[in-house]
Amino acid sequence: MRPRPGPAPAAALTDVVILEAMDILFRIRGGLDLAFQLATTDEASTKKALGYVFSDLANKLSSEVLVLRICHSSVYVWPNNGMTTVPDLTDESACKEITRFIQFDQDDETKRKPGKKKDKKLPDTQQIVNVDLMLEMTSSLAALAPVIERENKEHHYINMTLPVDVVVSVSPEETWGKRNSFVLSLSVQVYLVHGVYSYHHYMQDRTDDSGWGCAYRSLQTICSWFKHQGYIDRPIPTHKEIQQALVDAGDKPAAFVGSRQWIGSIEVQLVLNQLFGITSKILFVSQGSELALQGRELANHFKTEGTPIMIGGGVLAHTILGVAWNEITGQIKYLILDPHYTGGEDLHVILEKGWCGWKGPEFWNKDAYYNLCLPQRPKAI
Amino acid sequence: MGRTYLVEEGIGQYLSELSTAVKPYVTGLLIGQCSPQRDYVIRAVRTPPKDQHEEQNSPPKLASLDEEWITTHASQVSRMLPGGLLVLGVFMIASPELAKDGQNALRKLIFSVEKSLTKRRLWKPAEEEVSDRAALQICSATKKVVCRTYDVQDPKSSAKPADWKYQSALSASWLALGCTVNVNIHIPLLATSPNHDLEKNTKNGLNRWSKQIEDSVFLINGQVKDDDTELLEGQKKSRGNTQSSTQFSDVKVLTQLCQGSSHRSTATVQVCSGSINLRGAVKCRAYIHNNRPRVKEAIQALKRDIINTLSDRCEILFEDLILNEGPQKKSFEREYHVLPQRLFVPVPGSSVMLSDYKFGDEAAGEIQERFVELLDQAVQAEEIHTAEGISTVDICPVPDNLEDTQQTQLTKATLLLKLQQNMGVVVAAAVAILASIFSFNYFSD
Repeated sequence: MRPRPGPAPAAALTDVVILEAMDILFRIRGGLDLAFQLATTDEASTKKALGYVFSDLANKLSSEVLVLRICHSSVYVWPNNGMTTVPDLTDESACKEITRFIQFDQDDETKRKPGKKKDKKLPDTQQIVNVDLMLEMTSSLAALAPVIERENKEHHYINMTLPVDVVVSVSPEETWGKRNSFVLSLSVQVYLVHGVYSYHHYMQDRTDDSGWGCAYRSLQTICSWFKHQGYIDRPIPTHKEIQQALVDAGDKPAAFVGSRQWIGSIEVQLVLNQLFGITSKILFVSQGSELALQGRELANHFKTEGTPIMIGGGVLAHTILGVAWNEITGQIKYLILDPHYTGGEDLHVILEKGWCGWKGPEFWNKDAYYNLCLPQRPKAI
Repeated sequence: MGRTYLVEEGIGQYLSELSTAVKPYVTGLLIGQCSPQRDYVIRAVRTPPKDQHEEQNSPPKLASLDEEWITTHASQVSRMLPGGLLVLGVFMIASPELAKDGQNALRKLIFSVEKSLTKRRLWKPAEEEVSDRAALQICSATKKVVCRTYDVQDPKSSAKPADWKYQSALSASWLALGCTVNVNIHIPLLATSPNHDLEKNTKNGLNRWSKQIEDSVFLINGQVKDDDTELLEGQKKSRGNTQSSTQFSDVKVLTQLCQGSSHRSTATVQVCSGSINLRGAVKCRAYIHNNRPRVKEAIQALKRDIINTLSDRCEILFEDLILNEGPQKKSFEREYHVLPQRLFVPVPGSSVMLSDYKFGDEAAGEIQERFVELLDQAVQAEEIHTAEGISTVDICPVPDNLEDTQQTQLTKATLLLKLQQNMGVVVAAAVAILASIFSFNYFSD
């Protein structure tokens, strides 16, 4: 579902959706059950258990049991092995063929929340195809008499449903064979959630680093990203381990370890290389106002590498998770994960403070200079 | 208008042979399928003899009718029926003097059989389903057959006349549907709940799972069809219908992953003292008559088989445990029980196969004995098709912490989880945005 090279669609929740007029929007909704047991409720066990849960989930999403149902139709698709209930729909069919099978209702869900999504649905151009997440319960493998296993051990049983709401914008001419991107979108969401969870978790590990730790946090987020893509095995480095890596790389004196010194994007690049062999590109912008001109560069980075970007400058560091850039108008917005959040669990605070949200070019200090560290995905897997 | 029962021809012979035996009365069950237009009877089975040393010259009294024995027989027989088949009536062959009492006895039997079958079920019959059951009375002297039905949903139901018609090769070309269903049921045992009985908790877990099956989508031969369409619509009718052939349809069962009622992602934490896991892949099968069956009937039949096969097996296991080990309280840290495997056995002259369960250590001889006793059918050892393998019980560590319980740090846990609760909303928002960006970043080359 690669959109034509050009204007990148931005799909913010509270914004008008700017899209190519003829693009089809596929919206996949559902809930993924996450459940696990914890014998001890310390953070390490929780993290470990969650790690398993998420990797299980990712496996499930890329397996043959995942099925997508196109709402208001009899079309069911197995994205991971190409099976479908409509043999007419082949890999070579154009995506717009799918709309043939759908009975679009007048009474659509988009009418339900008028305030939230000002989605201009033009009946003859913009089409929204709703997709349900389903799992296949039957298998083609050999049958096996079930086993009841009973365990008598005290533990906590944690259960939650991860809401899934993924939107993929598609050119109608794009071939259906690229349906794998649905699954990738889902997997991405899972990794993101885990990454974000891990990120958030660090807030609770009681390292009081307010005022000096933002770049460290950003680096940890990047590491968690790589970890959950499967590129690295070892645990996310602590502040001290990061500092030690810099000492080992010869960049800092031994006294650096245990200090409260800031680091910048160059240090981030060094640590990623020292600890994990990950190379990064450095982008230098002499004035914050010029960051808006880096739209193409950033968009390309997300297209080809897809890794989070650490940006340091002035006296702050942030993580950029994405960018929405319109090639023609030059409009740009950055999806920022702000490591400066130090509050408790108050939801309103989290949202109001824009802990994770879209920022415009005005977010950056226009006079300050910025260094960006763009980690490159290792090519050999 | 009364019901019509189309009956496999061989049953007439079977019943007449029974009546020549030296007994005051003979009872038995009728097995078959109900459908909106008519009902089909494919087997009749006499009630198994209870005692060998019954008094031979006791006066023929219907009071000695052992209702409990007959209902137990019905329960056990229903565990041997694949989807679509059920115990749909009771018969009695009696001498003319017992005719009047016979009718009352039959009525009582029908209601108590239905009651005992309903008690075990994890599914509820649909509103519009046929709830008539047959009471067949045969006079041992005149061989006259009288068939009446009672509506088991109506306790005050009176007898309605019904037709009893023999037909050859009745079920020779019935349609079969089948699938293998993955089972992975996790049942946490709450510390607050006093009851840690394996059986009761398993049944609760199965109840939830059954609901999931009932709500699932069924694809027949890779297609989803409207309930009211005919199952065989669009398929060529076979020209020569002399051969008995089984048309087998593969079914896929899909369950929707719902977001849940609230849009917040709230984590629930339960303090547990243990857990039960039920894992495997069960072979499921249902049969449907070939007289223009509707998709709805077929799916319902298979759904029930899926639910029944798991709950029946658990029932068999628990009976076996009590028998062999007694109701003692166990305090092992871990216990494993392998549920019995499913097997299928053909019915002569029919495309339908009956089913049974066997434990790993049971020999073919035991299965053959069971078929003789419960279904009055002689089965050759080579006719027994075991449909499932037995898993080698390997102790896979559950991917959670296997260390000993330490003092629970509940405050930290609640903090963590409150975070997760909030996370859900934030994340959902963030993720929706993120996904749309990353969705086109990830299909390079």
